[in-house]
Amino acid sequence: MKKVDLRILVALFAIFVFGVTSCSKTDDQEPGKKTGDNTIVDNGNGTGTTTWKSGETYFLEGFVFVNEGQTLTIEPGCVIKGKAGQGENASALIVARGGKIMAEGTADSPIVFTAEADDLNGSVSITDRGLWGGLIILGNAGLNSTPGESQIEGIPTSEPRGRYGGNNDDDNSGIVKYVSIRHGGTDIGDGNEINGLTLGAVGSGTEIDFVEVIANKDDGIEFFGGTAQLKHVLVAYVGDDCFDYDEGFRGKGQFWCAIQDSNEGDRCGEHDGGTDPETGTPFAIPTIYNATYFGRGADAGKRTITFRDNAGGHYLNSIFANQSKGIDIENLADAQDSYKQFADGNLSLEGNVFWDVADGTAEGIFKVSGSGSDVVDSTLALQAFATYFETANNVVANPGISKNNPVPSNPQTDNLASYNNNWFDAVTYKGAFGAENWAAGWTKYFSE
Amino acid sequence: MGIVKNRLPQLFTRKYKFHNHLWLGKVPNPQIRPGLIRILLLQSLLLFSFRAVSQTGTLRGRITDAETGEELIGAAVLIEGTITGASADLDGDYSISDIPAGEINIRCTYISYESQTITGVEIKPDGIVVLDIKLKSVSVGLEEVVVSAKAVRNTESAILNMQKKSASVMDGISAQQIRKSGDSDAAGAVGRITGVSVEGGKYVYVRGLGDRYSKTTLNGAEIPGLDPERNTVQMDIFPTNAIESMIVHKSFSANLNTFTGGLIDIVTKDFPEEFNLHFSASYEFNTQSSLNDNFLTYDGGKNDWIGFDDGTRDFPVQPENIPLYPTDRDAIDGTTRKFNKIMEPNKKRSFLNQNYSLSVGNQTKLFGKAFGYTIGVNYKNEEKYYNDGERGIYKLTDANAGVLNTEQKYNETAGIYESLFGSLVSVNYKLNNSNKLGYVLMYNHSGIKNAFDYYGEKPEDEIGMFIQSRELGFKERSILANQLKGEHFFEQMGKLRINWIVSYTKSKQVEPDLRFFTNSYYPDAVGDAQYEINPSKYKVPSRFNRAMDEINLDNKIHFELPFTLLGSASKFKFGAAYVYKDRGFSEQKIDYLAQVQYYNGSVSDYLDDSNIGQDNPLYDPVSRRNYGLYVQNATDIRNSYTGTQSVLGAYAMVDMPLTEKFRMELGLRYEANKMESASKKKNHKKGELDDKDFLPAINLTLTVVKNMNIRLAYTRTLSRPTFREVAPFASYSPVAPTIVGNPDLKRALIDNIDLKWEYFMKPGEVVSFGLFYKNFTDPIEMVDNPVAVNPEISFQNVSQAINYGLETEFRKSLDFINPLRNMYLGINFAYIRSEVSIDPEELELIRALVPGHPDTRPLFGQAPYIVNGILGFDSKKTGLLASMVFNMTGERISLVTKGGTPDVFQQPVPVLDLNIRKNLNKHFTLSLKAKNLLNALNQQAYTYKGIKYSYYGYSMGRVFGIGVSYRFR
Repeated sequence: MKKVDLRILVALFAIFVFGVTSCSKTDDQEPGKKTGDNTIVDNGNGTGTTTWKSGETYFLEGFVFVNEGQTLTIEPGCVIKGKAGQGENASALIVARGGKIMAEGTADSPIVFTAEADDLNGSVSITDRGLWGGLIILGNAGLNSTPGESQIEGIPTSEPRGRYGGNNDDDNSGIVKYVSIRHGGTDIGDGNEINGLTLGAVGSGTEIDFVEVIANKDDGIEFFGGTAQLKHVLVAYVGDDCFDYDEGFRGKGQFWCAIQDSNEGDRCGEHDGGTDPETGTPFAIPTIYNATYFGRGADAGKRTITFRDNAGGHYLNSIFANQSKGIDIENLADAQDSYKQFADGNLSLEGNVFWDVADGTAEGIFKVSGSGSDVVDSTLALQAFATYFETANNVVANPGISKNNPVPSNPQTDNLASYNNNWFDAVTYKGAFGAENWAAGWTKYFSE
Repeated sequence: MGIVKNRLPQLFTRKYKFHNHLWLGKVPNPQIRPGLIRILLLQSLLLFSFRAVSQTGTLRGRITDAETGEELIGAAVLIEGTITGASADLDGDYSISDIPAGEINIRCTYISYESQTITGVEIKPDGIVVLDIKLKSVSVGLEEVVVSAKAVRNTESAILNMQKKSASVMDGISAQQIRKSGDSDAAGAVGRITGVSVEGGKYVYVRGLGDRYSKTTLNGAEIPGLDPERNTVQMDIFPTNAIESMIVHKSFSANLNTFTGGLIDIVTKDFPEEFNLHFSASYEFNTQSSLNDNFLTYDGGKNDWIGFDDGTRDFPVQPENIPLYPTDRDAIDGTTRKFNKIMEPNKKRSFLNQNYSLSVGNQTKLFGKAFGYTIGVNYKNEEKYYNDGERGIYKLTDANAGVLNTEQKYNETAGIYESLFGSLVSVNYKLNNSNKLGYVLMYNHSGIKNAFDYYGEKPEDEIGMFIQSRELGFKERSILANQLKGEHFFEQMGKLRINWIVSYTKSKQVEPDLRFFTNSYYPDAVGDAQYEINPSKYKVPSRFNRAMDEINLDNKIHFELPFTLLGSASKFKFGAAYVYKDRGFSEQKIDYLAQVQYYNGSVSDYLDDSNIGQDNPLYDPVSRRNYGLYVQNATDIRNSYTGTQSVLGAYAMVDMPLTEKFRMELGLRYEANKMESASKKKNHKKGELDDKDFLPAINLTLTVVKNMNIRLAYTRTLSRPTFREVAPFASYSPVAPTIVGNPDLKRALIDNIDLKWEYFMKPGEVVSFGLFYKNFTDPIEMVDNPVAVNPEISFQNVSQAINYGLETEFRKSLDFINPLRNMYLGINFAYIRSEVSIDPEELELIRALVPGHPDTRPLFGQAPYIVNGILGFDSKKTGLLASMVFNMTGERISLVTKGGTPDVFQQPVPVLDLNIRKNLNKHFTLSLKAKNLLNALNQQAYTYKGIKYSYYGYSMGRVFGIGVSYRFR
């Protein structure tokens, strides 16, 4: 009888041990691209080397990468629409390190990135932001953050194609020309949004000219390190900063125009040096000629430009208008900071025109924030920076520009700073526009 | 065959009995005793009571080896002058009923043991006399002894006896000791054990190693933790009145579930000797949270107070059914309006913490066989409140910086209300003297309602910007555990013992409508402020809905076969185990978005219908510009995951007392683990583990002289990541970094060497000194992800770590000093050094800012020391018990930071508790408690140039409690 007991028990146990099998196999991966309706889904293989045709509309579903070694060519007049959705459902086009985008539109036939809901005929307004992700280009140029590569904001760290940074400052990620990026910047979670155009460690070999970013929820254009060079850029009605740089950006810019919505948006320029460590090298010292930044107005409490976290940079021959606060640089106790960059000549503001910015005085427009090492240090820094306003030929004058027309009715041409590099067009006016509006015709902002 | 010396050296596998009710009690039948409690409660017990009024009584007890504590199966008890008697069953228990009332003598005999006659045992009508008998083997004692019943007293602490006789390093606490210390749940009680500390009143640390290296089992079977963020089981769900004992194993044996720091096995009561009923009620006053008019809470559902959501928190619309903006503005407006508009806390007066428990147990006859049952139910609620909370993220920005740079810094006010209902039913049935079956059902349900208010700055994003944030949460958790177990003794099959358990647990956690609302503001000179909600600096207002289900199956079978080797009674043990776990976790989220911000600083105005969508005053219906507030589905499918794990284990071991003095336990365990954790998002990397490990365990014991042992153990153990750690789930907090799983995690392997000297001066007294060394391969640590832009914490294997240290324990009665004769002192102290070699790349980053930084650091979670002390008073004469308990755990890494920023350390928190208990009469006991008297700041901090920067800090308040309990037996 006892033996029977034993057998039953062993059998019972065996049933429990081996009877439980409920491991289910998950489905295999979907194929990469749904054919027929031009919807692009990335199953990990990227877009492949391919051409998106003129006159066609392509739909991005989720994150779509141009993988390393692939080249995506986009013909003039092509429309790329991101499917709607927050977080997980966000769609974006990401050119991974070592991938290339050849998006060369024309003034008559620009390439448009927009939201699926946009019929390109007024179905979404210029305050409709965050309806899809954005365009992200990642490269191999240098960063000043350690360990020399980072994961781009908005892409989960578990996606290795979201890494950027390397040691090739001449890196070439392709061409972005006559491209309009609209209504992007969806919330990807936890305060992470996608910038209209994100340039992560993009090298100087990349050609970026005639770009519009409009109604993006986050920044218009954000640079993370790298040496990208951009001409003819319009950033309008974005929800956060218009131009933002971080992690040691050392590129060049000319003819940059920022126009803010009176109800939304933060700074025209948000310029950080490094993140980890903030004093990492190479320092962030880009050079920008001929910017026009038109702010939210006197009541919004926003700044024109902030330099901090050890950021340097040069703004020359530019126009800044219509903002309640001016330019402030950070001065910390006992640390390498943006004020030190200014003192060392790595941060300069020369030959610029200010109108309706702060209280219209040198002391009001040029501010030093942060504690300094003591009261005396802070006071001296404030005085030194305010005195510099005039020394560097900055003036308060009315160029005669408005939100709707940034072309000066009263052109500013006095005391032009000289152009120190052949890449810059040696124009004889201040601000982003001479006599004509280069943004007319192909941008959404100037077609409304 | 010669005389078999039946000194079986170890207790039956995994069954630890603390038969401490050795006193001679005479208990009248409850059914004929009037009393209030009886009227209230006995109705329900009628089912279990089969005794009738008569003129006879019952005698029962346990027969054990006086030396080893081993139960003596088959030992005979005979009432002198009669033919009435009984023999001991597989637990060593005997029971004789229907003994005519009066004084009797009994005689107990067993082969190769001295016979014992006990005189003057008084049997009362309908009474139960419990009489435990200890026999000495003939080689030790005389052939025949006679003792009087009054001389049989409980003097020996069963735990210490077991500890002394165990083949491996272990410790424990019995039901009797728990009663003494007055702890109402297992968390309080387990903290009294050597080398054990309890974090947050819930989670156990053994030897200062994090909860990852500890394991908790119920009757030897694994049950899951309720908190998906944790690796272990919260201890406060086990009511002590249903617990027979808790054992902490500190060195691994092959028949145990693998662990590295400690394994805590909670054993439920199976056959109470007699009817017992226990009811207690207690109230606690917390100096911060109780009777506080400013207690932070929010208006939730009607049943929040008992821990159940009444449906108030259900989303009115499934997130995936919310139309996408800007497709149908009217429909979106309608949906937005439907959502509950409470997204900020309010203040209400709080009450006192309450705790009620009731348990009933008895042993009776069912179809003529012994039937034991214990039923315990308890309910408690507790309020916690602090307004001194600090949260911060700091960074070292420059090698020459004088201070750490503030990235973000918040003050935190918290109101947490937790109610916990627990029940446990244990029924056991003896089929005969050789077979018994048991069933345990445990159901626990807790509801945690919390409200947080944060206020601070985020200079990382903007200097001069202040942030206000609010968090409203409600978590319901439940565990339903079913265990069927059996023990069988086969006399004819070489005295084979079989012990098995099938344990099936379902657990659930739901977190409906978890709400966050953050805004910023810029104060200006005249005291006004400009308010905004800025999605690029922090998360927009949002609501989460989370649910987790898990089943956990643990089946085990153990075989134990005695054999004789070189004249010594040895045991061969083998068995198998199968653990299967299946978890599903899902999360939904909705975000509040707006195409124009119209936020004036008032949460209720912002959520008001007049601010929604097309009703927003700034909305222009023609151009459709400036659309107001609206909700959108922001569910991140990546966060929803499933996990399955199966672990097949098998072991074989021998336990051989080779000589009188030297004992050897050799064992090998094999475990095959398959684990998968997969995101519901397609193409997302799965966390997969597929490991097969051999885990040897060698435990050597040298008994130098009687009551003095030297132990040496080598074991190999492992530690596996949890589902949560390998799952892609990213948890959100407005004031702390996001925590994300890592699918590439591996399991950690640990080689352990333990050397321990111990001396048991007297029953209940011990002094021990031990050294240990642990070598970790691939230990898992929590680290700040270096490639993430925003603060993000993940889990990583580091290649290698070593831990070594010493541990000492001293427990002694102070009876050698006459005025202190009722006092005792217990101290244990562990000192541990740990070293992790910092990864060369990581080291390079650190040295960029901190030149000359050492290339090692302590292991994540490892404290350098632990101190526990107890000074007690125990007077049996007056029924007064008192104790003062102190414990403190040294600073340990709670976050490995990136770069040169100093690591975050959990700071030492000294805790001092006082307990006083007085037996008012035979039934009533009054207890007074004072907990957390030092009310030290519980802080995790960065330390730079001697200054501490709070990563997270708060204090919980002092607690004063009063309770009364009623005991009937």
